[in-house]
Amino acid sequence: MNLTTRTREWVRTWMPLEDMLPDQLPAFVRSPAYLFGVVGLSGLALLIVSGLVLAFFGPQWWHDSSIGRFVNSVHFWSAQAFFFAITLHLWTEFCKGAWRHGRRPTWVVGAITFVVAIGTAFTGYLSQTNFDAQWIAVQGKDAMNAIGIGSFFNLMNFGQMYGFHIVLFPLLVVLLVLGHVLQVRVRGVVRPYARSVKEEQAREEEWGGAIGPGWSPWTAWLGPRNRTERPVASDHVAYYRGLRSMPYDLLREGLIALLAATVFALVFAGLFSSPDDPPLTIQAYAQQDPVSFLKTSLAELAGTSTIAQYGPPYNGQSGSVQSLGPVSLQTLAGITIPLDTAQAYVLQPLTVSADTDPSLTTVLQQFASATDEQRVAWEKAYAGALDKTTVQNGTVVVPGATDGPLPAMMGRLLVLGRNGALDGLLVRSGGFYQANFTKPLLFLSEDALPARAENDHLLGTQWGMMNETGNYPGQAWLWLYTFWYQIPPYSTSPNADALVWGTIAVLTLALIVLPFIPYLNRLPYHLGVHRLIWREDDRHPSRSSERSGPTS
Amino acid sequence: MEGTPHYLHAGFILISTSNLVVIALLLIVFAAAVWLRLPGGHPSPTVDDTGDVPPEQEVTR
Repeated sequence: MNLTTRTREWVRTWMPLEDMLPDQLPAFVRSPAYLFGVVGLSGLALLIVSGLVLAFFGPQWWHDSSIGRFVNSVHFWSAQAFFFAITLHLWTEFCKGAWRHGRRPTWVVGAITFVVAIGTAFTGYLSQTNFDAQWIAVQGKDAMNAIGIGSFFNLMNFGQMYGFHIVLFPLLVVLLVLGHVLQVRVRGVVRPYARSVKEEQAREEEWGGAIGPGWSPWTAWLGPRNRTERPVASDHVAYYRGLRSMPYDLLREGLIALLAATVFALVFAGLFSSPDDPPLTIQAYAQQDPVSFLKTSLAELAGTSTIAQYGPPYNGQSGSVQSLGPVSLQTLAGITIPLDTAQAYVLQPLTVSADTDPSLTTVLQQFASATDEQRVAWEKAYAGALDKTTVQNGTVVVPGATDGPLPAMMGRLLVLGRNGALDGLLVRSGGFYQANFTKPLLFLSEDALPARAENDHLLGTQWGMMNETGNYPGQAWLWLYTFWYQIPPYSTSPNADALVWGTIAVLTLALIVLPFIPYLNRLPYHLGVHRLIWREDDRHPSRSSERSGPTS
Repeated sequence: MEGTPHYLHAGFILISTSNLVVIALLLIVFAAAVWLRLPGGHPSPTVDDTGDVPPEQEVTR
């Protein structure tokens, strides 16, 4: 058969224009519970438009220009509207048992869209190029490393995250949403639950195929299938037989939703702007807290810092290695972002600086030629001196000690930190363009970023994963994912990230395949919220005079 | 919204006021959505002797 003819007939059968753009819908859709999908679509449209403008002008624009800041704020509030709407869409569709009568793929695609949208928002937060982005990157890296993907999905690599956020994830979301909307239009919205379980099961078998326990389709898949006896899924007339219809203007509804979402985003952006705390620099850290800067630098040199002891993907240590039972995906992934903290944070920057300071070359040679025991002794003595260090009128006064070349080395490093040179030296990669901030962010993650994050209630122990800087709303819809960190055994386990991600993976999978899980997939019927969404007249128009509730 | 953030602490739960407002709004809008009805639509159909909805009021293409 002609491929073009077959395609045309397939489209004609499954996607007739009358179903794609209907002007009549079943009367039971006369509930606000049917509006969240279209509001979510409106939020997505605003996100795309504002995101295109932001991408066009680039990251500096949304910080430096008032118009850029406003567009960035519109993007922020559009994201709030989008997630608000799709969270409610998810809740209401669950209450309707929207996967019934052959609509399991529609639910699966919708749930995957929700998960991918969270990934899109996450990379968006990482792309803000502000303090929030810094903190989320260094906090989130532990979770990525714990499941072995920290080097493939490096949250501290701004270039990679920005690419994910403006191209890959949005493309995926848009494709999934298009597929989801198409699925909804092909089959139409699901009918209200039948009056009795028996009647509902009969309808499920007619439209969704043979059923098993809990209306699960597993047995249908294992047993023989006889599709020819089932009606065409896109036959709306047959599916809605016996139900009242009402005139409906889908496009008008969509335009009104888009207008409302636009007004919301513009007004909130104008009134409240958006969170944009300036990023923390090593320069600011060294200027504001020089003693902490020196202590952190010394720990990097001595190999006693958190990062120096971290383990894969940075080194072969085991200080932050996590596992799920006997399996450590972090260890299996290996050392893919090798980082020698002594070289990266102290010796290499000082070597560069020594080009213009011959005296520094001498002390570096003294340090390099010393034995390991001698270096440890110097480092211990210098650490003791730092504990007694004072800052007088901006001058750091380190008491004398038998610490060899370290005062000269660390004194020079502090100068590099205070004049901003270290910020630049740590992102050097041999080329000209830089977009990977792994090294400076890891350095700041030792002490400076956590101290500032604590003030903003962003620490994990402060339920910080849901919080935003200032009084802005954070990611409230992530509570199911984040609250695990707050309760034992997760909150007390050294494998917290691996455990939480294992739990989240199971929960996410359960959400996606919910229609296939026996008994759980009939939970909405027993919850009974559907009786509020679908009133008696809509569910059983032919028996409206009886006014009796459904039985199970 | 850029001022000093406000937080509520109850037991082991620590939540920002703004997040609490968003969660409360989610619940309120959800409750309203399942409870309220949109205006418009037809009145209940006249049920004939057989208990069926007249064909002209059924869903049509």
